[in-house]
Amino acid sequence: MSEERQSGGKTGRGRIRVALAGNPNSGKTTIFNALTGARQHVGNYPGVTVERKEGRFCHGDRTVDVVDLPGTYSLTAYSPEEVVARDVIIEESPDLVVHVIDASNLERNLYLATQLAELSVPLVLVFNMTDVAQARGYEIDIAHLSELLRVPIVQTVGHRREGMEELKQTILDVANDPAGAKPATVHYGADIERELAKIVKLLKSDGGCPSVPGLRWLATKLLENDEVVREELKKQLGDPARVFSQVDASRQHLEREIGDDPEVLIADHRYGYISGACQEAVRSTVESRHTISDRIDFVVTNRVLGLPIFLLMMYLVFKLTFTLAEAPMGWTEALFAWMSKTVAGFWPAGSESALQSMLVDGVIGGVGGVLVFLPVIVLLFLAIAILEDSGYMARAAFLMDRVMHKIGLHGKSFIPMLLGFGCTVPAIMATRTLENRRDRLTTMLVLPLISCGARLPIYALFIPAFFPKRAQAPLLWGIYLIGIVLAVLLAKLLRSTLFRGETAPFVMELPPYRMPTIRSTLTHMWERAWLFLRKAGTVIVAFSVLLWVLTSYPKAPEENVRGLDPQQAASTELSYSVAGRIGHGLEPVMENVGFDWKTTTAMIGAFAAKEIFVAQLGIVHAIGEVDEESLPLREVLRREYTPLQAFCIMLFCLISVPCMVTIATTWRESGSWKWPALQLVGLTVLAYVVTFAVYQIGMLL
Amino acid sequence: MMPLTFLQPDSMARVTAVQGGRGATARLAAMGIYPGVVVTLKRCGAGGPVIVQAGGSRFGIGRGMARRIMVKPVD
Ligand SMILES: Nc1nc2c(ncn2[C@@H]2O[C@H](COP(=O)(O)OP(=O)(O)O)[C@@H](O)[C@H]2O)c(=O)[nH]1
Repeated sequence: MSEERQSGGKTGRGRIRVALAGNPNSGKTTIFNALTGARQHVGNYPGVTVERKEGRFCHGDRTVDVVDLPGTYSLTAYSPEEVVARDVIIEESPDLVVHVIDASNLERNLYLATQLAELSVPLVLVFNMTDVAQARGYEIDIAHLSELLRVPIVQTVGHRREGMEELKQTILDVANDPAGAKPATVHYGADIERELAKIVKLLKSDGGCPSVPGLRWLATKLLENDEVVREELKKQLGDPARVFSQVDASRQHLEREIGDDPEVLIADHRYGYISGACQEAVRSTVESRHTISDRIDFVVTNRVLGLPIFLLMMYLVFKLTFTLAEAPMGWTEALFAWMSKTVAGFWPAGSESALQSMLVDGVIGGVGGVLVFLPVIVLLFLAIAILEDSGYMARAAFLMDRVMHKIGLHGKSFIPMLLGFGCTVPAIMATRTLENRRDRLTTMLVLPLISCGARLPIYALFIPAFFPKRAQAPLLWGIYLIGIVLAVLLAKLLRSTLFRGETAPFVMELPPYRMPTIRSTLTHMWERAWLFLRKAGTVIVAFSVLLWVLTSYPKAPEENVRGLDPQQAASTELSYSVAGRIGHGLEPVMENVGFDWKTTTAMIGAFAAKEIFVAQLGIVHAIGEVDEESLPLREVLRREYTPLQAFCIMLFCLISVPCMVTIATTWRESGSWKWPALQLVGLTVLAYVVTFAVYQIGMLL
Repeated sequence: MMPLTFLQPDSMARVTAVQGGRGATARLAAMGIYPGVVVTLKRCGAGGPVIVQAGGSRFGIGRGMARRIMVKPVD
């Protein structure tokens, strides 16, 4: 990386480095994909868990590296995304910044441009969504606006890939001759400029002051009371106290003189500048009228209809997911059955070895048990991607804000919760959009109660095995609902004890409704499914093998199994193994909630990842039976447990111990071991209490 | 001058002040809601968040926050 960076200097013919900035919903991802195609790399920014996407393209004889900055409205220090975006620009000093703008919403989008301009980096503006702008009747005099702002402007229609060649050429031109893309900066008016000058002067005379991205920017940030910049300067300046006392005096002076917070004054001037430019170069020929979005919003955010529509949508999502997944699940099952048979066939009858058992029962059985449910998970992610891309998701958050507020959460907590149905890990990461730490921690801690895709295999195994067909869908729905209700109650509890205080105000953009494009929907789906698969590919194989060892060793003494039929022998072997012993040890406690030592043993494995529970049950019940016609797992279960027990097992799996990866993610995101520990212990205790009550009452009935 | 939530649905008003906390005011400004801008109240039930149109975009704003956005009706 560092080598590339050196060779990519502004003078040489090396690589060009471009950072892509823009508001959320401006079509930034679409432009990024159109530019870089399949050559992308997704990672994380160190320290914070903001996604870092990189890609590259070739144009003419040059290679261009593109880094996709997080979507932001501005470059303040209020969210990790914004801090990351500006840090990349300052620290990695790309050759130029490409700012993707929603041309149908010019003034708001240009706000970010005024801030990018202050970072004194060459800038190219991409006016995306020109089709929408045209339909809304905006006529933009591009040449004139480009002259006013002193930056090149390229018009595009992202999803149709229009304007991409021109954009690539412009990037090359600017990289070769950056002088033509030095954007004009906003003049903040005499009062503010005077105070800025004072601060700049002090900064200049201070030996320790960093030279990038310019003294004016640093001074502006200080005047805006930007915590991050202040902290940084405190470390670097030779005499921070002298500078800060001037900053504080300036801030007070401005507040007294003009009667407003300097931040607000600065924002005013930026908008004044933008609106001046737009008045000159943009004409609107159509009066705004009721759009289709208006009409849809009228129905779906309706006070009476909104909630039923929302619930119906969710029900449809689940129903469709399961119906469509049926066939591919059958194929996967058949594939793994065939693989087991083929691999087992490598050993002639009578010569079965430990290796064979490990491969067939541990690896193939374990992985197969999980991958069978991949179709469901992929389809669920697909549904969520469609909801997101169409614009409905933001309305759902809006609808839920009122309810969420009642339980002390934020409307935005709803999106992580919805993602939580797919996988808790990306859901916890998605809590980053919550600015208030109390909101965020509460959401994080209750998230494991939202039943993730990995727990689905457990229900999908038990429900058809124990319950009649017509009860299956409602029961599944019910389990999910129990999780939601518990999450709500727990959130309320947390908000009235540990995290007492105000929730942050809810402000969220409701993007216009759009027909989701196949390409972007599939991309979103694939990114999340891949995260899940990676987990399945690594953690699950490793743990399937480890658990196979735990459930196979130590071997029972020969005399214990002599004369038993194979099934009894297998069971004896297992109860002699390490996992069996732990399971036996916990049985007296777990009996009260409907578990026997076998399910308890499987639960131990489920800590690695919930999906292992099924694989584990498979191993627990099928071990040593490979040379027989092995009964399908469901039949074995039906023989050994009552429907009440089956329900309690599902309930316990729903509530108890989130998986290892969830715990690790909570730790990383919350920055302390306290919270994941609380999550682990708290949820397990809760699971025990709830399941205990259900099982004991159920036994009485 | 009155809080945004007092407006009739579908009526327009000019924002005169945003009395949020420091962070909230700056964030609203970045999203396009700041003194001087004309907004349209799209939906405002008896409780819960309101929908506001400002420029080309639409926002859901929590009730508490909406009450602190002061506006002056325009016709
Ligand atoms: N009409 C229209 N839609 C676009 C254009 N560019 C992107 N979109 C769509 O806008 C939606 C949001 O785009 P996305 O790239 O995910 O936005 P991001 O949030 O900025 O990354 C997607 O459904 C795109 O297909 C465009 O130029 N015109």
